[in-house]
Amino acid sequence: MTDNDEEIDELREQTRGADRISADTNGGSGADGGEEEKKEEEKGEDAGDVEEMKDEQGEEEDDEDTSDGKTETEETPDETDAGGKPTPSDAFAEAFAERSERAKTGVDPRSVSADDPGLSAFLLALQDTGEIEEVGEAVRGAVGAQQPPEYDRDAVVRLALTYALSEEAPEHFDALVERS
Amino acid sequence: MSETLRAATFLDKGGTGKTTTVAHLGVALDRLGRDVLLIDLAGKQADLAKNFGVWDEYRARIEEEDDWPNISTVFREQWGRIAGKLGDEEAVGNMIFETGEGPDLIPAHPGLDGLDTELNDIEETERRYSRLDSFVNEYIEPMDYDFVFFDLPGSTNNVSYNGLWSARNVVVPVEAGPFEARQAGRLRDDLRRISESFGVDLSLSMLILNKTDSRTRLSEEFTEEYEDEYPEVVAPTQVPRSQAVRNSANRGETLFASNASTGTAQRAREAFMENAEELLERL
Repeated sequence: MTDNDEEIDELREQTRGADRISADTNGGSGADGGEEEKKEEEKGEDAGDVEEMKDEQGEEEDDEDTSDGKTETEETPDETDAGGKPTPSDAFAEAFAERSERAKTGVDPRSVSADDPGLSAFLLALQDTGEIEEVGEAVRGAVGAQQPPEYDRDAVVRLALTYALSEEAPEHFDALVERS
Repeated sequence: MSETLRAATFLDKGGTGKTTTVAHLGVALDRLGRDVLLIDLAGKQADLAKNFGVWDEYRARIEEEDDWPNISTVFREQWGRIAGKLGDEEAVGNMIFETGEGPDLIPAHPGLDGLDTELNDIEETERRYSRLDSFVNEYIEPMDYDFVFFDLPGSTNNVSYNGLWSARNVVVPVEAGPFEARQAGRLRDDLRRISESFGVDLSLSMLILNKTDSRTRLSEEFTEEYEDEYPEVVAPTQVPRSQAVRNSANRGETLFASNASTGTAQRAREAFMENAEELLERL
């Protein structure tokens, strides 16, 4: 086998792997090592951002707790249910308006995908057994959303997200409905 | 060498007849003497391959893992190296199928399914949306096709943006209905916004009233509304609803290859021919 053949095989493995992963999990990475590494870095950065946001959020919550004279242990599920649904902040409304414009024009990518092996496997199994439509339709019915053109994995994730928001973060959900 | 004309069917909704439109306009353009390449980006179902009866052959290749490189490969970072190593003819030539009705076809591949997520990882907008365009510019243009026609997904995602970016001209098949009218309106606004944001000139080239039924008043009303709203883009001839379209697709052929002789089948054929002629004029 020549060097050229070897390199072609390597490229085939890299991109065929990506094809398979894309087709099978919708998590779709699996490009060459360099890209994988880059993605990991980006994910790492993203994860860092999320952690940072969580920390900030935690600080805010701590502040609120202090001002209310409550401690973390005093928060019970009942209290949360009784009035503890999250409320969109002014910053969220502003960010959402800006992001909506950017997503509409494609400056920001539009996508909801399951980048999680367990969830990917679950959705694939639903697809394999043909139950994806039934499950999708059930969630759609619960949330009263418009029927998607096709019940693929993305559609089910979108509906599930919509449902969860409508149940647990109704005010954020309202903001979404208003913008849609 | 004259520049290859490009167009894409697109609407952020499934079931409006995008694939049927690409298939029939593709054959009509071929009958008008153009060399046509159809590129299916509309997802893993590979409906255009089924529509032209090449699905069994293609599926066998996929099952035997003899399907590399394919249309999803051209979106990968490594595509340039792959084409360089294999040579253009092997890299691109193996993707192309002859349909038997005139146009050539690059079928959709299951790998397209997860591309949206991968493309999301590309931060820079131009790099995210120009991969298909680079492929068409560098590898398809030199093949001297007169017309490249993309069938895009029925939803807005990174793959459809790549298709729009490369095609620049959008053909929209719509049914006569209030929801479809709103969708078409939104699409026109979206195309305008995209054009302004990225400095690319996207235009709504043709809006084809599809699956019309002259027996209903509703259909007539919406037709008039579309003509008022989009006077410059509405296609000259409506495509009537015809069972023969579906029947011929199930047999793996277009109406042009079918011997269906019903009135609606005849009118649908004529409509596709007239609209193809008009599309050439407009582009």
